[in-house]
Amino acid sequence: MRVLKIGATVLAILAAMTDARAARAAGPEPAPPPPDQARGWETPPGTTPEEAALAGPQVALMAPRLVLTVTFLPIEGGLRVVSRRIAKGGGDAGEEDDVRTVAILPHLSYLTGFGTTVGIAARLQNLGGHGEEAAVTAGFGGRFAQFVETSFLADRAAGSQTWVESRARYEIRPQEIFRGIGDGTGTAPSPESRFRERRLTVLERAGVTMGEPGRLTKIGGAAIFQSSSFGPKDDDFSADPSIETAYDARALRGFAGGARTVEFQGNLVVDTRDALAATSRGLHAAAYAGVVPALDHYGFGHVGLDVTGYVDLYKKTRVLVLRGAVEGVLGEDGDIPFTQLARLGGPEQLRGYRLDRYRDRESALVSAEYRYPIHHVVAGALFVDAGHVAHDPEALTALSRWRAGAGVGLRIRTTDTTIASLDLAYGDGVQLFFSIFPFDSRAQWNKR
Amino acid sequence: MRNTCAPLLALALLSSACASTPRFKDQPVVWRVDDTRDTPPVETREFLVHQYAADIIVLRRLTRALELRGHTAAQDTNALDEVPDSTWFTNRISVRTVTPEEAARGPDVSGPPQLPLVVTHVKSGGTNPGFVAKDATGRKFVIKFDPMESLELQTAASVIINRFFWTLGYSVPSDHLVVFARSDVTIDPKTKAGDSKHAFTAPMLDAILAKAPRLADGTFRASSSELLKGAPKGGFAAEGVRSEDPNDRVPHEHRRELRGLRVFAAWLDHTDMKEDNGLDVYTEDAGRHYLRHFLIDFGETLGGHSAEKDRAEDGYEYAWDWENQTKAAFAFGLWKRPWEDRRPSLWASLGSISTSEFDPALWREAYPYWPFFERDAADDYWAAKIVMRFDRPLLAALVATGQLSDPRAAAFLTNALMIRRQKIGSTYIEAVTPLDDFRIEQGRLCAVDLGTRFDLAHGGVVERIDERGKVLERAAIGQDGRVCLAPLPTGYVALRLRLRRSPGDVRRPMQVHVKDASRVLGIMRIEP
Repeated sequence: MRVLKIGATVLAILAAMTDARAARAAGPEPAPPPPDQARGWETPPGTTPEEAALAGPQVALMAPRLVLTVTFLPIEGGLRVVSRRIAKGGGDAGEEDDVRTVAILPHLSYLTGFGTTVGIAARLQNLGGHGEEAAVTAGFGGRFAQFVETSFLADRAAGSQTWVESRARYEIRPQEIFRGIGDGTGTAPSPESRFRERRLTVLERAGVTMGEPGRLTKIGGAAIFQSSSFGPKDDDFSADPSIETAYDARALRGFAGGARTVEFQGNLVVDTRDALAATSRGLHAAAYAGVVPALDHYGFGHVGLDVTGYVDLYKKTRVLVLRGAVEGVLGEDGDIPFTQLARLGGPEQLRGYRLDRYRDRESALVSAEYRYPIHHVVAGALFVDAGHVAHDPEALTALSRWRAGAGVGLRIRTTDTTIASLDLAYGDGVQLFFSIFPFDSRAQWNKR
Repeated sequence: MRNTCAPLLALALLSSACASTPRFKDQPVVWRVDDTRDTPPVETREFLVHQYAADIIVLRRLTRALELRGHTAAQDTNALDEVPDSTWFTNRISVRTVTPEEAARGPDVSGPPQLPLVVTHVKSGGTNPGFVAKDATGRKFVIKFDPMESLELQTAASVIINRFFWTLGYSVPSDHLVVFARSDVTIDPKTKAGDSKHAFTAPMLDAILAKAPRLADGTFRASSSELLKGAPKGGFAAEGVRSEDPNDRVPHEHRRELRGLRVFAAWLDHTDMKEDNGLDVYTEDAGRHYLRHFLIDFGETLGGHSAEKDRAEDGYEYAWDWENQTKAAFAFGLWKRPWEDRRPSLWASLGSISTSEFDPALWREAYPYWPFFERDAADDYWAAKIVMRFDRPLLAALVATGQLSDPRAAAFLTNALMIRRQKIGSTYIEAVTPLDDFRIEQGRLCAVDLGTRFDLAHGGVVERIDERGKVLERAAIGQDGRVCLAPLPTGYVALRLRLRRSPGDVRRPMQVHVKDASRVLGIMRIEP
């Protein structure tokens, strides 16, 4: 019996030892490992053939990567500052003036034959709460030694039907292009030459706006004062000769003594576009007729029509833009300053040709542009332009003498604002036009 | 015949497997990691939108391209290639049944705000109006509204997708719908108008509410997101680690739950993926302080971002998509892009969440998110099998949390999510050898073919191959998706398995590492 008891005790002790050993073996639940050791590798996978193959190129690219990183540092620093400033001034506080905006905007453009223009604009939008816009713009470079402009625009000033446009602009253009008068088909050579122009322009327009965006009609009148003086080119950008070495500049009306004119103009604008910049359908037509009284040597009449139609080809994304424009200057040749003649050439008036390549008393232009989507705010464009200048309206119809240009473009725009534009066109050589400017840089205003 | 072959197969297995070098430790699979160690306070990360945009569009894109990054597998997975619980992710539906009731409740602890509300802060950032308010119980909420023209669009998505992400395993705030009248809202006198020193006034509140749509009875419907307990420290970076946080040891672009997030985002059309829609919160738990990582702000999911930004290409192209948009530039409009036929749903309360045009592989977030660039088939597979665990009753319950007023809209959304779920399964589960749930049964390795289990495909054989690709054994997949191989030898065995769904459909091999014919030590879904 005692033996049995001893045996039982030994067994109990052994069992207890076994349990204790087992408990030690199992131990407390192991502590969770750090996040990067959850896999439990005994032998982690080594270098793969792919990694080995990339090692050399990775080392080779270290230097350019470093250069880029260092180059980007100031850019990122600037963007950090911008982000912080906007974050600080942002928010949905619900203040009343949150629909008004004040902006300082850079302007950059490039035009073949002239080079790069840089500028800056201070713009106040929605001044009276009805889309009124005031701006001061200044810049230099490229076509301009300098320019400064103040403007105020309103289709519905203070919520009324009053259409108001007021502008004053002073500019020095040191290298304007002159290649003779006419369409260049005459027997006399028409080499490219340059001249300087200093110009002051003041425009006051008033009228009535009827309808709403999408079916807008504006009728008004304007007085445009322009004072220009001319001289030999005074910029070394272009290798072209100065005007007096290639042409008899004294024979050009206005060149010697300058030209001062006041034009009284009547305007009619019909605008049925569905959007101002990302337009997919509608029409924009502008007609004007003006007279310049012979107050200071020069007196003439001036008429023009510019019609652009937008055809939606596919879901507002593929759009065909068709444009036709005619302009005429009426009067005796001797009463018309040469810079007031109708002109063709440049990003808005016959792409593929230098700005103001052609000038004469009459001009006609037709254009077809196909726009297609690339990005939410970027459209591509394929275009072909054709135009002609002539001394008489009848001569405009001589189609064999028309000039044509074609090219590709990019348009960066929101619904109603063109932010940037690029055109690469071929006609009389390759012409490039590029502009970053949140205003419409191709306003009719700039044409003259 | 099969019995006769078994010993031979076992012999072949023995001869090919005994030489295996142990890859995995012989230890229990890790289902929880330690990333809650006490940490000193960290700096708040700023979200600087312009710098962020420049980085994701150009600057960082360029420098990343010059890094010539090769493939790197996710670095926070366990031996079974799953994601253990952490401050980033908690396994819920991935490891257990989540009932519709539990999913609909989500992270909720205390319920929606109790009226009246007292405005304490005016919301800054974002497109839609909103404010921060304290409720009758003293809890604080971010209150946000729908766009004026799309009642329910963002408020419904906010709550629905909040519950989805909770069920998927992410940390999210407690979001609810709340309806209140103007008279239910007052202003704390200390509230300032934005960052100004001026007091926030009742007319300012009225201006905010004027931008919000009203219900027929004049009340407002809003989403409420309860402020998280702890100190917000900004969004988590899309790549790298937070250097001051010792718990943050895995570069974010190599975190499985962030790489796999792309599949969830594609499913739910969460295109607004950017750093400020994540949030690190410095929390205290049992005396320890550490960062917990949240996903927030789901109002622009389910096609809402497309509607708000008027981007038909949302979900198909990055906001600036060098690849597709360059292609479009040279196609001159002749290339009809997949999203061009996309139509808005019949309901203003739903975004244009597509079904027929939806292709998970082509889906893109609006703002390039680096973890998505690093993802591989294993990340996609991991996420897709979680998506497949949502059945129709669960989806219907989750959609119901959005309280869409038109039941047809809710039914449409449920159906759309089911269709997208199926496409995700077909795309990502059927892209690999989808064997899962490995077990040892009587000395044999058994598994489940998820393609068959989820009714994505049927039939096929599992082939065990040697390192040169020579087939050593074939096992047919049962109708229920189960498949078992020949008995295993003892010792450490690394098996290379691949699925041959049909003669021409052979998947890339995976590895299963087994010890002593008794324990699955680990798997490698993609061989290095």
